[in-house]
Amino acid sequence: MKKRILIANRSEIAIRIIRSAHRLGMLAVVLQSDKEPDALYLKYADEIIPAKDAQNEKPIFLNAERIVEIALEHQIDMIHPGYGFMSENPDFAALCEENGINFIGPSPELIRNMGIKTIAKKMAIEAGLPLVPGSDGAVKDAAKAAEYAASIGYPVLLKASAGGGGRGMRIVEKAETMERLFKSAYDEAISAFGNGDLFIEKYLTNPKHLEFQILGDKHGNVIHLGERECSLQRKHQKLMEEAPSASLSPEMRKEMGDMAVKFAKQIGYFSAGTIEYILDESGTFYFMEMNTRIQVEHPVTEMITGVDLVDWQIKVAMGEKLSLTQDDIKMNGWAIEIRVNTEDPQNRFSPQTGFIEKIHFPTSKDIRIETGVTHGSIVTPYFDSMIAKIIVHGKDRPDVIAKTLKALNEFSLIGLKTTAPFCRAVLQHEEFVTAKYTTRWVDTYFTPEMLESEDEELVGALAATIIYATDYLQIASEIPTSRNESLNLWVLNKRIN
Amino acid sequence: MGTSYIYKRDATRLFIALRENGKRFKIYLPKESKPVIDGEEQDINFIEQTDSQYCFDWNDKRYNCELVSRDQNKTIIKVNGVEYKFSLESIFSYIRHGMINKDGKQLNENDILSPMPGKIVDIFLSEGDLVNVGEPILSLEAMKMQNEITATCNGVIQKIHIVQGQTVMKDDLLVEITSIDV
Amino acid sequence: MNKNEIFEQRLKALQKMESNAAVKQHLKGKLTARERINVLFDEGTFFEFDAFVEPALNTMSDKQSSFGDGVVVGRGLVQGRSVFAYAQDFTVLGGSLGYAHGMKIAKVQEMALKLGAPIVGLIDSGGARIQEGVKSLSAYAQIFRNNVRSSGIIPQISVILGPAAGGAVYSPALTDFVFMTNQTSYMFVTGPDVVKEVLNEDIDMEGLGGGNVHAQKSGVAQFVYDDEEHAILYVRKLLSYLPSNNFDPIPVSTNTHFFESRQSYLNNIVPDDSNRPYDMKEIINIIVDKDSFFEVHEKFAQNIVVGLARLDGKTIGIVANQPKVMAGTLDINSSVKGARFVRFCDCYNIPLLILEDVPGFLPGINQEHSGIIRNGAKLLYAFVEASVPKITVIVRKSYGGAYIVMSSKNTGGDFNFAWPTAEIAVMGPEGAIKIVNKNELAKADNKEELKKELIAKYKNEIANPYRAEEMGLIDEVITPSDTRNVLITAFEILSNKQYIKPQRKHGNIPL
Repeated sequence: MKKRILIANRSEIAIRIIRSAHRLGMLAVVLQSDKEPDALYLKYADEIIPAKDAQNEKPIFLNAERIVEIALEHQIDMIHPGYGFMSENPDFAALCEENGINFIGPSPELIRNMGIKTIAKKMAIEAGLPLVPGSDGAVKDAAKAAEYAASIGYPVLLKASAGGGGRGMRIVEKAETMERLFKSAYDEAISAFGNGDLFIEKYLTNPKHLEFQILGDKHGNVIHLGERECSLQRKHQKLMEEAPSASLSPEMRKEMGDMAVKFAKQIGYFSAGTIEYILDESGTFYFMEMNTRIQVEHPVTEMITGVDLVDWQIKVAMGEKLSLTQDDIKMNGWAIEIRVNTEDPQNRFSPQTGFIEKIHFPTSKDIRIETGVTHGSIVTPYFDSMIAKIIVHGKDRPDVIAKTLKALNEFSLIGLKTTAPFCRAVLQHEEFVTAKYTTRWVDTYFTPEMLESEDEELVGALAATIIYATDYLQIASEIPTSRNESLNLWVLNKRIN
Repeated sequence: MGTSYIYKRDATRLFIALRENGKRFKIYLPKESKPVIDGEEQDINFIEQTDSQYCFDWNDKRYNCELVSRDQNKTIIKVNGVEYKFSLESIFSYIRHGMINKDGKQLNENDILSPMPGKIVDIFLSEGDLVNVGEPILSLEAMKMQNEITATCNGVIQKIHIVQGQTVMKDDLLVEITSIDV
Repeated sequence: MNKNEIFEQRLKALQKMESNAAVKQHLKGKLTARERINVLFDEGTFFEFDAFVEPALNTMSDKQSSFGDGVVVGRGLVQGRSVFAYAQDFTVLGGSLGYAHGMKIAKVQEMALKLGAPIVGLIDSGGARIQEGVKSLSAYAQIFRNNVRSSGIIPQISVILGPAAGGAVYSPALTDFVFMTNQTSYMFVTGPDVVKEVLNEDIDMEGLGGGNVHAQKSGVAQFVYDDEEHAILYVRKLLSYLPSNNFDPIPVSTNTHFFESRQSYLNNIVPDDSNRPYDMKEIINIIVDKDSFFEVHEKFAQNIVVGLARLDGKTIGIVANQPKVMAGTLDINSSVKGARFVRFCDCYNIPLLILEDVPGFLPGINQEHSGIIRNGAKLLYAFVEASVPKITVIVRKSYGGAYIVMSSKNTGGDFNFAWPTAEIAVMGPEGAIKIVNKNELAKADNKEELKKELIAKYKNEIANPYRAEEMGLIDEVITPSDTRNVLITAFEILSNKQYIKPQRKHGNIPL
């Protein structure tokens, strides 16, 4: 009998996982949320389970108990959580295990440990990974924080130990503002995570964000698949990624990769995972955190290594041994991923919801499209704004940049605004072309005017004029009309007296 | 009837598209040929129109335009995912707007002075007419040569100080034009 | 002088007047009376008469400079159809209305009525001519009388392109539609000087009676444009929707394009949460022919949307609640706005489409004291009185008195449809359970929990379209994406609607 895999996720990643499931001869089962009953991913699944998550309830994908209940009812063998939602929730992984369902990902214990930053850091130190100078665990109060900050030097960063996504995070530039910012970070952490523990670390003014893809099995084998550069971020949300990074020499790549593998081995990691590093201007790198899920940007790694990460996630979960060794991993060319988010870059990236009248993706052998939407799809306010990813492969960095620009010119979406023009502006920016860009790029360089181009402005002026003139000249001339003879005197005589 | 401004519907295929940032496009849409933008014919091809999409092609690049909103003559258009806001005017409404907004302010005089002594042979336009840069206003005969005196700006002829046959000296005031920068 | 010379001379005088006018008007950013006429009519179709009428009391030294007494009248074609017009000329005696001037307007009004063609007034006048005294007032009276006599028989449109002060404002007020321009037109009964003198309040002309004031606050003007040319061109557009008179069939456009790919969006356009707003105009634009929706009173009482549109080429009038503004509640201004538009459509046999999402009438001391009762009654009266085909589509909320008012089945609505998202009941769930389940709620330990339960129950059992469908009060619950097709068929079915009115002079609408 075919194995039944339940995908506890939606949109493009659900479709991506379905593809792997089918390749491995499994049946893909998906959950249908009432918040988007006509979503595209449903069309790819072998079986659809209506989740009946009512209007005011949280989406099914966040309801651990209900997902497991459904899985038991429908004889599910494995659950793939995708990214986001329950993917890094140790309780969910544990609940699956307790009920005899194979959770595709690392063990609940690994997820839990990596999720708590103080523990993760402690384990990293044990493995010899360099850390950004920072407090040993949570600091008690603002006074202690100021004391510590003075010892490592300003600016410093306050971070919620349970945090993520930028919440409970504050940059403190000088001692005078410490008390105020400490309090606001604390309050935010309490309200967001129910845990006000803050730790403190040195703040790097112009860092790059690099991450190493790790793949391990349940038999102690771990390899890395090189790095991705994800420095292009806005409010800690990644907007586009590339692999490899132009900032690493082969020696550094080897050093950082080996350390990542060593760390993963030491903690007994299995499944796909990511070791995040931060790289400062001098080329010093520090360990940041480990992600224990498949990442949104995993396709860039797949593009250059030819390894299918989701396939391996499933295979590892079934206990299969890693057939690849580190020497098998060869980097081939360069890849860039464009995230198409329905956000308006001309208006502070405000989310856009509504109707996708038409969507057209570029096609080429070097382009991979991961999309969760199609013509006529509705973008609701209930979920993440990322609707698609465009991944482009090139022989080297200049080649892939040129190809990506071309791909973006071919991409079009009628109905909503997206971040695609933003990515186009980035690709043409000097800092990106010279690979000097850092996580501060958006704050430092981005202006909405960058999205515009003279030729498009001119065509826009022409189009606006044509639309206006059509109406103007039409009103000014004769509108073709015919006579409606249906109203006869018989009718009128009765209506008018 | 009237001397100027007979509303010729077909003659008004010249439009001004103004962006909020002050950028301005003069767009002429001939019936048959390619559009002329700021005086230059552009090889822009109209490919197709679907529900709310207008597709153009220019130098092998595709331009997907989408009408986002329209309020009278204020149009927001999205080109390849980026919005541009234009305010559109016919050449006449544009000129009148200039007038209304200048109301009460010192009008920008663009007087035409006689470049040389001579005799006025002919006056082509009359007060209240709209003129464009380079359009001949009158003909001045000096040293047996007829010189056409042309407008130095776009605008309205406010006052004509001379009559046909009159002899003028150098730097005599001939015509007052209220400039409307188009 | 021989006869020919006199003729030539008079013509020359007229040309001179026109070129003088051009200088004066252009510098103010305005057009002359004849230029305006040229914009309004199809090229070369204007037929002017009474061009050489002299003022009744001519005080000018150069008599020929006041030929026509400051108004141009005649007939022309708009999209090939006959339309009468008069255009006041501010450059002749300030466009003031003398007796001869007034009689010219009255004459063209009478011709329009006699011949069943719309009349457009292009107004730019300083008011009654003081020198002529009561004579000029009598001319105004004649014009007003003609306005009233023509009302409901031929469409009357006023375009204010300059000042209109004092008594002069009442002619536009009596007509069907008022157009204004920003910055160049004003309407007020008493000007800023008098306001200053009597009330000691400082206000300028624009602030007292400019285009935006009348379009947004007073509701006097249905349309306001930035430029004269646009204003006049949009008069042409408006006329393209209207029949020439109340016996004339409505014009049908051969262009029946619509947003085909967007129809399916209608299924998702209404938010799940019934307290979340959406834009009703988006629905209208998807349902009707592409770009055919021509909104009337766009900026006034925005909680109701009214306008003309074409459905399969045929003109319809649309009255729709706008959940985006004040949740779409009905208040005094929106009731009056709706009522006037419904009555206009009824006059000219334009079928009505009502899109409904209304939680009720706006509560409040101000509303009650200002007479929401008698003003709300106007809308109810207008809908019941209208004998044209009336189709209601209940999009979402339809509660209480507001349900009845918005052309419900038993007020004479010909078809009442509902989308599956409709909520039809005496009142909203929160209010209803407080009354019906008062005792249960008082006793309950967990009030919030019970409330939630009761609301869900109420929505499932009472506030839905199926109850009404079972009673025949909703003719059919329709799929939103199918709305356009259903409406086209329904209007086609109703096109021969006969309605026998009881004999009476006229009803007594609660004014």
